[in-house]
Amino acid sequence: MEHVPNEDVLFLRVHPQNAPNGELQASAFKDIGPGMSTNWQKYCPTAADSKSLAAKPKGHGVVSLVVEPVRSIPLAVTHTPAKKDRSHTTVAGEKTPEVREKLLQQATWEILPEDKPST
Amino acid sequence: MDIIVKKPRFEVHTNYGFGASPKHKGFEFPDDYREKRRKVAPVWLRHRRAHTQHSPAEKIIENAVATMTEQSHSLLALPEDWDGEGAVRIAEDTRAQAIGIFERALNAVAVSSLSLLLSPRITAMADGSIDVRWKSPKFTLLINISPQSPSEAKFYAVNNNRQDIRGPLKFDAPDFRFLNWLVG
Repeated sequence: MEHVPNEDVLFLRVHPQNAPNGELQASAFKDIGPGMSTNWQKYCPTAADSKSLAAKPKGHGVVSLVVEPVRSIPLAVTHTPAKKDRSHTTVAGEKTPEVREKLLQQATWEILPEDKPST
Repeated sequence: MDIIVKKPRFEVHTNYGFGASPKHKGFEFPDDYREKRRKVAPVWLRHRRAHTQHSPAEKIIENAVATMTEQSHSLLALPEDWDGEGAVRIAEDTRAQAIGIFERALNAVAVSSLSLLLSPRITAMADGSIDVRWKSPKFTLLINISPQSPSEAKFYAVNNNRQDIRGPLKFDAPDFRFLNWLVG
């Protein structure tokens, strides 16, 4: 586990359901277990790499988040490497409507999702 | 000459012509009244709605609710694990609560601002909850309806002056007083 610097970037995969007509929605920011799963750019250099780590990557989009504004929401950003994914980083803290709306303001599209959901 | 003041020989009842009023002397509810009422009420309610002249605002709200009902139908079609990361299916009850909250929000806002609230985005969350979100140059409003919270939704709203408000919205009596401030 390493310290994630404030200026670094995280990638988050977005299901098309959470971006109707390519318009990112706050519902994209959800917890899985202890927090929101993201990929740290240090070990996952591109958004395409992040997309390829999905169980069902087809159709997914990817957004990027800079660490510092995420921490200022405030949320905890912690490197939590997995066996098959060294870049895995958890963004912990309750995802209330307010927190998710603030995350939405910080997110930038890297890969737009395809219209057809990969269900 | 004596002036005789006669009392009116009629009373005003408020049952709008639907049979005898319980205010009549000697009226008693039949034993099976409650059971019959449960069965009959939706029928006469539909009849009354079909034959009542709606105001333009009521018609607009009715159409918006119908559109949202249709759009939200696709959420129910999402299978288990729809995101490939263990997402939960959306329950019919959750969708019904979301539509109910939407309708109440439209009824709570001033008619002049109604157009700002007619077309929210409705999306599913991986935990089985539903987000209803409005985004306009004047404001952003996000309401989350979750099956884990059966009595209330949560909301967050922010206007273009960066003034914000958050809190719960009880399903049985949501307090939408903030809406006119938000959209005004």
